[in-house]
Amino acid sequence: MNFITSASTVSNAVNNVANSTLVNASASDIFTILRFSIGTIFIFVGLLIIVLAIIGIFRLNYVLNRMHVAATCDTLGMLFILVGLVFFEGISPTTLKLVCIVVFFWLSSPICSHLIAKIESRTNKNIKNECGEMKL
Amino acid sequence: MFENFQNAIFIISMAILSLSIIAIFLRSVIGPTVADRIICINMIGTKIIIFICMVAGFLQEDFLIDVALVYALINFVSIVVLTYAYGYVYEKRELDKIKKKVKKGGKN
Repeated sequence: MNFITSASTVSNAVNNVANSTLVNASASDIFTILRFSIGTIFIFVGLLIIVLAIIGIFRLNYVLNRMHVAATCDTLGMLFILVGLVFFEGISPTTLKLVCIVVFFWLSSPICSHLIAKIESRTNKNIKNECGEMKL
Repeated sequence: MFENFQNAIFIISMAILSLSIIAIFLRSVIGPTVADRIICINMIGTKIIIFICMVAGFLQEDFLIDVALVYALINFVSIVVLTYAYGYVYEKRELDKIKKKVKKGGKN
């Protein structure tokens, strides 16, 4: 039942955008226009960063280079998209949870990258061909 | 008018995100090393967090953002567990190889 109603809202939304008729006219003053445009810009920049990261993952040579691209572009893309969502919805306790998601992800992503690099250096026997090792 | 514009933005971004998830899954099948695949799991988890937040904005349901927060925690813990588990298995295999060599050398 829920799937059918959501599919019908999707088709309604697409039809209304195509016809461009003012069906549900909300308050369209300057502040909402600014809010929606800034939110759209943030979301599209975030999606662009994610698409560039996928191109980079396919083209780069070594695992650690790919890991670098993945970690940095994921954190930045997530920041932009979720901040764009905060602009879309307006500031409320619900959208402050999106900021909590961003903060937790920024704290936990370097730990994951460090562990992945550690396991790569432990299991790869020919690692001296790819990158130099530090003598501590 | 802005309601339908908002829905259109969400639909476009959800489509792009799901295509990207398929591409990353392809990379995890191709990638020769184990670290490749763990990177792809991490990225898929991140994309799904963003996807759940977009669904929450699209359907105007507030509880889905809590689901996304829980998924972020689960993603982090799963990466830690995977790396530790693979490290343990690898060390065990190396130890077994060394033991086999010592046994063969001892017999001969």
